[in-house]
Amino acid sequence: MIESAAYIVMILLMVSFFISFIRLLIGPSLPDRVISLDLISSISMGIIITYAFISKKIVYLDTVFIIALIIFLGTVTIAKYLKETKTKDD
Amino acid sequence: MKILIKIWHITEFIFFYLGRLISSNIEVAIEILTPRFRMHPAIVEVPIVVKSDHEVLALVNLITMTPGTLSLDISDDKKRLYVHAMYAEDTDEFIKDIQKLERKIQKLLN
Amino acid sequence: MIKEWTIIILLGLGALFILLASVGLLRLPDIYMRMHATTKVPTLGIMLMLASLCIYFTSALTILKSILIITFIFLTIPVATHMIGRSAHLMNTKKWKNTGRDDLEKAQEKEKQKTS
Repeated sequence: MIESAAYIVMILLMVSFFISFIRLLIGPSLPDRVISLDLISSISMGIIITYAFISKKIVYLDTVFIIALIIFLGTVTIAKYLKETKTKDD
Repeated sequence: MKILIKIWHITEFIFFYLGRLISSNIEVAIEILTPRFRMHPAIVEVPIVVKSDHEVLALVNLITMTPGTLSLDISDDKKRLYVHAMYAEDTDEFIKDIQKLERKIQKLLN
Repeated sequence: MIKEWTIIILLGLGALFILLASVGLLRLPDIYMRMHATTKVPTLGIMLMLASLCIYFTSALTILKSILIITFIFLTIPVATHMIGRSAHLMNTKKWKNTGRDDLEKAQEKEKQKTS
């Protein structure tokens, strides 16, 4: 019962992954792409949580923690970089 | 006794925070799912009174999670906050709302 | 029985919220509005999914780890959005046509004049 529900949830998450990937491709400016990457990280956290339901193993929760850590560092670094290049230009 | 009051304040704050988060989610969901946009966005300058770094962090978190507002920038002397609001027809009302949040944070962290 | 349905409903609601966030990312008109959609909505979605995981594997370690993850997400996502929003405004990203007043623009102009 729960497993089949988890498969349906997985399909929903895949659809949302695809939609935010479209925004990553067409995004008019660089910050648009960065926030869409941020959302993709949230979606992959959701996918891993759902996979923990399917495989009945709790170890995958640690992976979610690592993703939450790393994506924050990535976003902050990109924001800092954008600011530096902008102030250097003018 | 003091500790008990502190714990009560913290639990009250957590439930307040969760309630704000859920209502903001419902608001964004309605905005996304209805075909016509009925928002009037603006970037508003809000004067703040909280001083320490912890309080500013809590205020920024709370503003970002409350319905319709998103903090964008803070001035160098930590006295003015720039907030992007989705429904900003009435600016004074909106600033009063944020000052209410500020008082709540001061009560919690002092 | 009730436990099973609670797990399924919480998991499905979380996934629906994340789907809603991605639809909002595609549909809303400018970057600030999109940031409204990508901060608030997935946070609640991940929270609901972790809650259903806590009900499924009922152990103290799971609950502790989930609370850690949720606290971390709550602390970091607003900060990341704050920084991205500031750099987007510095880059003069295009705003939606109905946007009203913009106080930040004047402040950043003043700062630029001071440094130059």
